[in-house]
Amino acid sequence: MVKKKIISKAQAKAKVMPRPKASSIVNTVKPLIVKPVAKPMIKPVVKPTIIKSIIKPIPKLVATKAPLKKINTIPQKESAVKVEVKKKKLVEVAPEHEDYFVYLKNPLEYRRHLLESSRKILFCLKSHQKIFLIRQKKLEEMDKLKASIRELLYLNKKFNEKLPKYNTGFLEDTPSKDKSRPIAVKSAAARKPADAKPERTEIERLEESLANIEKKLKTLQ
Amino acid sequence: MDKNLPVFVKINDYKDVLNVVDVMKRKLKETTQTLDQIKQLKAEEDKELQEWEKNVTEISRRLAFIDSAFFENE
Repeated sequence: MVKKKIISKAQAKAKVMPRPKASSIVNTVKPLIVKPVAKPMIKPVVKPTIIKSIIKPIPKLVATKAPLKKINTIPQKESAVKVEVKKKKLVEVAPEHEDYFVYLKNPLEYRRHLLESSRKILFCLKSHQKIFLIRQKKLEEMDKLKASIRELLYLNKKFNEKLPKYNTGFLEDTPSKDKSRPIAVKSAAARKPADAKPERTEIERLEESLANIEKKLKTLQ
Repeated sequence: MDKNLPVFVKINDYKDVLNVVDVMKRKLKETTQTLDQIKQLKAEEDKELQEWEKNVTEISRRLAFIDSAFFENE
């Protein structure tokens, strides 16, 4: 009985207070409950593919920020194509002939022949050089000879001038019209056409003088 | 008229003529020397050309040998 009497004040109050209604409880609790908010649509984050890491950018193209000139771009493309073509060719052609060899008997003999040939070719080149030098010397000597002969001709002419002038007409068996005419006049007449034709070559002049001398010789015979 | 008539030279010109003849002699000597030099050079050139020909013949012979050796395999 004693136990029943000992009650806490709160219990006593609860006994006293009326029981709350369910609706009132719901009303009081309702605002406290957090309403579930609708989740927003989140796009799934797609990771970048690995292509970026595999395909390396061309260093030249990345480095050049400035716009490429037309002149530079076109040949680069062409050259790139050529390189590709060359590479392709190499790749295609090389394996075909790579593994083939030709057997040669006595390789030392061939090598010896080739070396001998090279030696002879060098001898040829050497002799060519010698001939070239000899010809140069010969040309120099011929120039000297030409100069000497010209001097001799001049001296001969001078010598003829110093000799007494006489008419050779009387030596001829057949009488000529110009018998009485002196030699000096003849020589002047011979010079006239030479002055009239200054464009004659050296050979022509020599031929003419040769003909004159032959003519004179004939008269002496 | 006689073709073997004597020729007389003036005494003033005679010395000049002698000088001219002397110079001509010297020049002729030089010319002969030059001609000899040219002859010698020509002989050298001929010799070199002969050597050249010989070498070329030798090369062609060796090349023919190598050529035949290389192409007999085909």
